[in-house]
Amino acid sequence: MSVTALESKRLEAVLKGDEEVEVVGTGTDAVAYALMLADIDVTSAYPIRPYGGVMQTVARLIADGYMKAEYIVAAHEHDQFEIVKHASAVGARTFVGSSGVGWLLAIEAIVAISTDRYPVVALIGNRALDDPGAYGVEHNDALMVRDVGWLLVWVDTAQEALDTTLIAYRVAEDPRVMLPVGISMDGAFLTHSEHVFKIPPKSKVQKFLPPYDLGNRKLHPSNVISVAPQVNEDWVTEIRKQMDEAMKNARKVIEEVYRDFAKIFGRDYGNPFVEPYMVEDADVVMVGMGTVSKPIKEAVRRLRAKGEKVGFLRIRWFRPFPTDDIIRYLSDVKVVAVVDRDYSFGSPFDGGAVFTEIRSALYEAEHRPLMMNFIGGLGGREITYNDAINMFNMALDAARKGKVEQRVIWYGVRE
Amino acid sequence: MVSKRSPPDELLKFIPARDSPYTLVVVYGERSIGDFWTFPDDGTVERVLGAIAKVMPNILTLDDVKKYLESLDKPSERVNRALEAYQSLVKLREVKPGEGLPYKYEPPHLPGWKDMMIGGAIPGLKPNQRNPYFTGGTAKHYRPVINFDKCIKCSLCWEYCPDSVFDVTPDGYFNPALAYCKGCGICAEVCPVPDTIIMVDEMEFEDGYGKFIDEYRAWKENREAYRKWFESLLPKAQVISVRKR
Amino acid sequence: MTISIKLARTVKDLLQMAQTEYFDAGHRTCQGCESAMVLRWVAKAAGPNTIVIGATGCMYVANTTYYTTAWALPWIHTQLSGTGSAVVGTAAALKALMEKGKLPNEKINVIGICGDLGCADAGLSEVSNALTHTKYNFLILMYDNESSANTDIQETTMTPYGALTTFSPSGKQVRIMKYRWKKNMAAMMAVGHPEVRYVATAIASDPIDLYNKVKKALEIGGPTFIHTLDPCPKGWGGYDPQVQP
Repeated sequence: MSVTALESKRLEAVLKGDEEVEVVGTGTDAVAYALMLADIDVTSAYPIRPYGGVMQTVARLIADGYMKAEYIVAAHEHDQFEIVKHASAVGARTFVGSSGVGWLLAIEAIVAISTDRYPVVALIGNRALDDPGAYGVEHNDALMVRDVGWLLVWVDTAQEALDTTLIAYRVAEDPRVMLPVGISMDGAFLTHSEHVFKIPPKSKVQKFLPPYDLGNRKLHPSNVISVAPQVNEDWVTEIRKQMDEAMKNARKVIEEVYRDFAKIFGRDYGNPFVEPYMVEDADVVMVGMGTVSKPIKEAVRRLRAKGEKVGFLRIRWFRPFPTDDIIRYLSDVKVVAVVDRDYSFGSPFDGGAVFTEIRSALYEAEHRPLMMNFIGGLGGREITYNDAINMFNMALDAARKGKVEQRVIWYGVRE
Repeated sequence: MVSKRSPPDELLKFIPARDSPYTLVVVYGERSIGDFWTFPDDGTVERVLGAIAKVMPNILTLDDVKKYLESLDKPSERVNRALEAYQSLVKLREVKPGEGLPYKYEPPHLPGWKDMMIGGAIPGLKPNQRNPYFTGGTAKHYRPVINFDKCIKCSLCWEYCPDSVFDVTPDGYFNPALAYCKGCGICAEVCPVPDTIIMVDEMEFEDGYGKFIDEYRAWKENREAYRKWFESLLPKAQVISVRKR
Repeated sequence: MTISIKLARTVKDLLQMAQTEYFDAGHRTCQGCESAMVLRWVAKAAGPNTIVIGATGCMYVANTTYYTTAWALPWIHTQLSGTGSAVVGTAAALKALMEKGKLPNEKINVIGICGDLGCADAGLSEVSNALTHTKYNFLILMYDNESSANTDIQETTMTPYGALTTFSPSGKQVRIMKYRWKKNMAAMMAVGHPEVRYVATAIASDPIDLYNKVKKALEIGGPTFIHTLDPCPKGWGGYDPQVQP
């Protein structure tokens, strides 16, 4: 259980040296190393798969002295999120996480974290909601908070998970933002699969990530304030407006932070909000979030080799929503096919949440593409390379015909 | 609605003037906070219905009121209350536009979202600083009046006040900040000296609405006048320390 | 265990030791609210180096109205069931920040205040979890008015057998709707948590006792718990403050 000799050597190197170190680990390991580098002060754990691995790694790192933080095992997820909310209120950098129904049990505290404007960073190991209990990935858990002031980001690789965790603290704690960030990671596909990734040295992280400063909102006897007293209709609109403004500011701040990240760590993510993959001159672009990118990218490469003009756009930041980028990359293509690893029953056209939001964003575009929606990969069902090829073929067919015959397709559902 | 027994002309001294004419009606009855949880079902609703039937039978006749009240539980009791108001309605006064207290409503200036602290945070108080924005003293029915001549400075009123109303004066007396006093009467209940803290009906006083007198200062300035004033109030007191009325 | 702090023995001691108000006038509590008195004495006993956490409940709704506050101590709201979590989070953060040199090392009291609904019902698992955290110093105070007083006096598990509440009215068919007996919170906290450092019951009618118990709990440190029984003038219909327990 404890840190191995090899891992120990590598951790010593990143904590004391100036060079990054390459390791093999899971997506949740990568986040745990980022927390070590970010020097978090308080974290709270409660077991649920698939996010739980991160807390096990953090516990190991604390037990062996590689990081120093108060590690509190909570009574349940609501307890967990209340603990970090209040730790954040007195000026501690905090981390928390959950999955599926656990995340939903905490939802009261989760909303209070964003309305009280505490820059908590949370890992959501995406998992299908009960009932019946299911381990597999589905994005509906994280999407439950899409309207309440959480910044939401979906990562694709362990490296991106590590980097995004560092970026999340910097964005969340920016005085112009001061909102929590939820980092979504596909359950099993990323949380439990091993990747090669690089751990940056702590010296560089310290350059990138300034200390957490709540300013005049720090709860301390030297700063007597009352936080979140009972409020009536004279004030709620203004309080919500402040959050609206912070969320809008986040777009600018995210761009700045990614630029800074590239400068300090030498890893450039290009467009911070979306990852365009061969979308230039594409007739058909598939859109998705998270690890679904792997089979789709492979399908794009093979289809391109055959001369089909296809591409892929991976949405990284879902909140704030990258409206401008969606319009830039998607308005001129013939068919946009959105792969939703979620559902939104009774939504316009009965599509998924991502589909609905992209459709809404494109309404303002000069050219509007045809749109298709694949609801698939629910409950952890794999979307394979062949599935991606099938989906592309359906979308290419629609592009050739100039019309979409079936707008929302429950991909692979057994009749 | 105003809870006050004065005749209409007296009431008009502190009722703000309006742009349109209206009828001022005085209904005699027990003090009540209709339908507030503390005194549920205290007859306020019935009395108001009876009064409306008297003043505006074109809206609601007495028969309508009776019919409605008889459909509820305890019908006779309810109808009696309505009748009480209907019959005891003593004063009707047509009020012309502009009559009354010259009054201009100025809505309080509230800060905009750019000036508010984020996250619902607000500045706290300093120690011993009462909340300047919310006093609550107008909630009281009774007011503590203190006979400083008899006070033994035991400090019990200060200890037991849930609203931290008593200021400790330099010479060790306890002076109530009446603007913050809600009139619960605990101070009079715990005071161990007979006739020292009395609870007097607010209707006996001309001050109020944030302009409460400073009892300790009044006593300091003229002890004889204060003693006379206190003695004039003593027979009217509802609760008297130690000696129950 | 020996306590080195000075405790109050007479009411005069209180006047000497605790004249400064940290929970001051200008809250929206009802007339004669005993919970307000509890908070007043808890704040006095704790003193300025304190962070107060208030769970949803009548002492949340009544004591703080946005842009005004009754607290001269840093105060923060937590959700109805969040008291146990909030005190642990706050105390843990203070410990971490002080150990890392991010905050000056000093003793800061952490007090979580919750009503009977927020503590004995909704927040029981959090409070129970908190009382096992021997690493952290905090006091959880349950003000027990035996009902959900803020939301119109509904029954909780702390409501005594047979009591009338808006959720347990007496009717023609069912005479006793509240058929459950009250939980014994203090005993449960003491017996069920081997490492809890201090458990007490108190009542504001004995402010010396309440003051001393809060002082002791904060001095002893670790997880501590105080249960106060607070007569509620709004909910305990017709109770006479003179015959409080």
